[in-house]
Amino acid sequence: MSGRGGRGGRGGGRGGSRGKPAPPGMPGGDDPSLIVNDQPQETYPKFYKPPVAPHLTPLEERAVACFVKFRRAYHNTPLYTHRHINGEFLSLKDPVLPRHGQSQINARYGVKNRATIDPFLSVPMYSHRFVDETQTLPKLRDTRPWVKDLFPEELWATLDGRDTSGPKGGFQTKGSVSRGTKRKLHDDDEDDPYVDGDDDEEIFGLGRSQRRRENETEEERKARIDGAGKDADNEDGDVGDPDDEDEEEMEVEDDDYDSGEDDDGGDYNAEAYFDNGDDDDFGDDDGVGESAMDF
Amino acid sequence: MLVTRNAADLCALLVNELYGQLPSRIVAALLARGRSNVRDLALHTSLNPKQVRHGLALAIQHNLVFYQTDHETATTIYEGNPQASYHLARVGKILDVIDRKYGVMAKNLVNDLLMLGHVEVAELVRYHRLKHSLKKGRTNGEQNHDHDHNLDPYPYLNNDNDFKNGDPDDPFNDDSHYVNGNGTAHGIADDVMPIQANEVYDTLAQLIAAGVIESVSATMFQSPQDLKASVEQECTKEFPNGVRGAKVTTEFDAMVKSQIRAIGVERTTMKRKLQENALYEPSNIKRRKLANGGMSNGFAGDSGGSILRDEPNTVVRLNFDKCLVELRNQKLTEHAEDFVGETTAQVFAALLSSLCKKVYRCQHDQHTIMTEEEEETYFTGVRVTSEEIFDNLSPGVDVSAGVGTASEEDIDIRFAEKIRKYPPQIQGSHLHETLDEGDEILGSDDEDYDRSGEHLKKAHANGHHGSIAQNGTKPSRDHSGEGQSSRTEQMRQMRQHLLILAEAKQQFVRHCGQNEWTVDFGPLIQQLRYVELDTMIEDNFGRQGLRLTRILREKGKLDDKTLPAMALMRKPDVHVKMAEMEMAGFLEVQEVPRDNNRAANRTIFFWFFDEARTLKRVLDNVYKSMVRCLERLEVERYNKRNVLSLTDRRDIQGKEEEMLRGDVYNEYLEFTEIEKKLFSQVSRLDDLVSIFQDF
Repeated sequence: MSGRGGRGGRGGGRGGSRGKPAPPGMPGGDDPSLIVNDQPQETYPKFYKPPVAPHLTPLEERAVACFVKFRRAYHNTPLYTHRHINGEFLSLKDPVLPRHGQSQINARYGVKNRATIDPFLSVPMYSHRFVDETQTLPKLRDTRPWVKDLFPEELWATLDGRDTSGPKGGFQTKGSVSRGTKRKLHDDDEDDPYVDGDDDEEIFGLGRSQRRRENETEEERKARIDGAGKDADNEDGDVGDPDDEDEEEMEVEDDDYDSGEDDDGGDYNAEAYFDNGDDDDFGDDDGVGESAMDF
Repeated sequence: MLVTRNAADLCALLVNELYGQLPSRIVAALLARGRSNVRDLALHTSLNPKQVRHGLALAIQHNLVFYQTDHETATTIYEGNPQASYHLARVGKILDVIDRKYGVMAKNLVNDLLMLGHVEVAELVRYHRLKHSLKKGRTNGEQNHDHDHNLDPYPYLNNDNDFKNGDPDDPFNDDSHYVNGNGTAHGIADDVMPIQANEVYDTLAQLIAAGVIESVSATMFQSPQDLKASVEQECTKEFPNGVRGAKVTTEFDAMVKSQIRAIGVERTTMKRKLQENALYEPSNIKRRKLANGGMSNGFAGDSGGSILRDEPNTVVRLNFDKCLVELRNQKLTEHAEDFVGETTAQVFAALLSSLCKKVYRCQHDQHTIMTEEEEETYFTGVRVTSEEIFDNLSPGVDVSAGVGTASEEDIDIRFAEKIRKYPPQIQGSHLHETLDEGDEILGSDDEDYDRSGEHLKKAHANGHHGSIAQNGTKPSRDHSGEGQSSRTEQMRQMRQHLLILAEAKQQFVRHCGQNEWTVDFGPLIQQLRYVELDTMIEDNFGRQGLRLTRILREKGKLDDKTLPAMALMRKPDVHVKMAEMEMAGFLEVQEVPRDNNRAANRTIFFWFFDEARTLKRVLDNVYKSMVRCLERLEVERYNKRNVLSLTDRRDIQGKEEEMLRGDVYNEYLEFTEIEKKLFSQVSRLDDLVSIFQDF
């Protein structure tokens, strides 16, 4: 438990039989008999024998069993969101990566959308019925009755499964009113035709980002610009198109892509695969997922 | 809880381990960023708002975050609750301790509460019955597969007759047979009889009365600081002229205090209602337990459950504070067992469990919301009589064992039975000590002693020696005829154990009045802290280092000339040791120059041991070690990912042994072994955290 690097204490080291007289300023430095070994401490001790932990007592054994059991039970509920790490980090030797700064942390987490699924495993197989699908969103709707009074109002729509994924979600009561007034205020310098439809999923990105820029403070703006400069890919920095695309990707991710037996998510429909495969994607803008999966 | 980076990492990892990645990211962001709203969170985590909202909803459901809504602007601000996230490390221990103390059904209820977060009583009962009876429906065979889709709350009523056939390992059954060595007992208890709603309500009422489960009100979702601030805001409206001047300020403070008390009372309404119901005096519960083996429905239809039934919309959740009290009792019992002996420790456990009926939390600060009654018990301490302890004593304990015999003349009864009315002072490092008036009172502990001991002794002398022989079996605990005399005898022997505890160097128990006993938790835990700290220092720096720190703790600040003399060590040895410990952060040095030019030889160096600072540092290291353990687990999972992807399959889960190929199964066992070791390490480290911080 003794980490190196305390509070800048000088001298020290083990043994102390060989070495020089103490440097000035050290406690007891006036004593000529005091010999200090001023060599830096070794980074790793030569013989490192960590003490072996004793076996589990029955008490601990039971406690651990309870913990594991509870964990397994919870992981089988629809509220559990699976551990989902970005694929490229998983292939590295060490799955626990350095986490310097928020952008690195965010980059570790995987995004589940049509672009990131493994084409070789995503064809429906018999054994899939036994494997839990990687859940990125908890299924809040209909799993159980929620006590809504104990949640803030802005989450009520989310609990009902009516979250429209806009900045306000399904929260319409006061938010929309205040938003209306705000829009009126800034009406003169913003005549974006899409801004009305900001709750629509297709075009919400543009309208939202612009409006967000309006009511942000000076600091926020600075932070945003800084953030955008550093890692335009990861931060939700509102720097125009790539970002909006990113958000749209995240949108797709929320969909249950396996429910895409309908025409929309048909790129992994095995029967339709070769029919669709040979016409190129240049003409149609079917969405990000389609083009990203082109290999 | 001081949130260092390691602590924040730990909280995020724990949430990730249990509740999944999304809430974990939210919690991590909230702890890193402080209070934020949805938009900030989305910006910070690069999740979209929809995901953030889902994560927040989940986190609120499991009480991992606080929130506060500003009604004028309709914005909601969220704030992490590190303590609640940290409590997740204790889930296993809590379930275990509840199991032992309150029975299997109570444990299952707590388990369900952890699964559900806060929930209405009716829903909890429904879920509980569905969940724990589902198993029976399933063990009958594969025919009744539709039972989990069947939301009829009484599916089991039809088929609990033949539940014993069929295989016990159900793939959908989360009572994982192979993992949980204890699970069989659980299964048996469940199989004996179908779960009656009454029974569930009853157990629930009992748990609420005991404080393990608490009813939830909207104010609980505000952080205590926010709550205080909003109460203060309310109160300022009452003072239109502003709060100025001493008189108005005291008035204002009193008002705020009373309002906060009112909130506290409101929170505990349900609990008090159930406590007033005499059937929930825990001693009765104990009897009931004794009468028919487990928490069975011997008292079906009693009114505690029916009170709850009348208010099915009460929202409840697990109260971790009370769980901590239970864990503390367990720890102290272990401590007593180490120092005194097994039987005495069991008597101590009985004392603690009867004492802690009224104790709902281990610690409090200025933000803790308590009712008046709670405050009283906290500050004046609670006491129990020997009878109560005796009633709480588990019937398997042989009180005649574990005490040596001494002849009558050897015991100075005045000293042995001495009553100590005032708690001992908290032993601490001398750095922050001030001499206050209380010290004198402590000295004047009068020479009163407990005479009841003499009576009991006489009864003993009158010839009940024969009964000792019978005590091994403990024939009866009732108050009739012969039982009475053996009860007196046992009581006398139990008192001997209590006196041992009171007399021990650690002062586990204080004999605070005629036949009354109490425990001074503060000083006792402080001792426990020193024991742990000393072990740690000894492991790291050897006996000499330990000696030096103990001297410093005893004497306060010492200059480097006196220290070697006092420690009986050579001066260079002392210096080397001190420098080593200073670098590790266990000791501090203060320089006091004797003149202006601050030359080393004209400077006095004072060494000292700052307990608070050391504890903080040690705690942070402990958090870091816990983080490493959990990360290591992640690495191990990665290494065994092929096996784990198999065992996670729904058709294999729970019956790994049959389904898996031999070598794969062996690998899986290897992994569970590693996992067990890592979790036990985490829980041991958590013991340290509890002692240093939470008890």
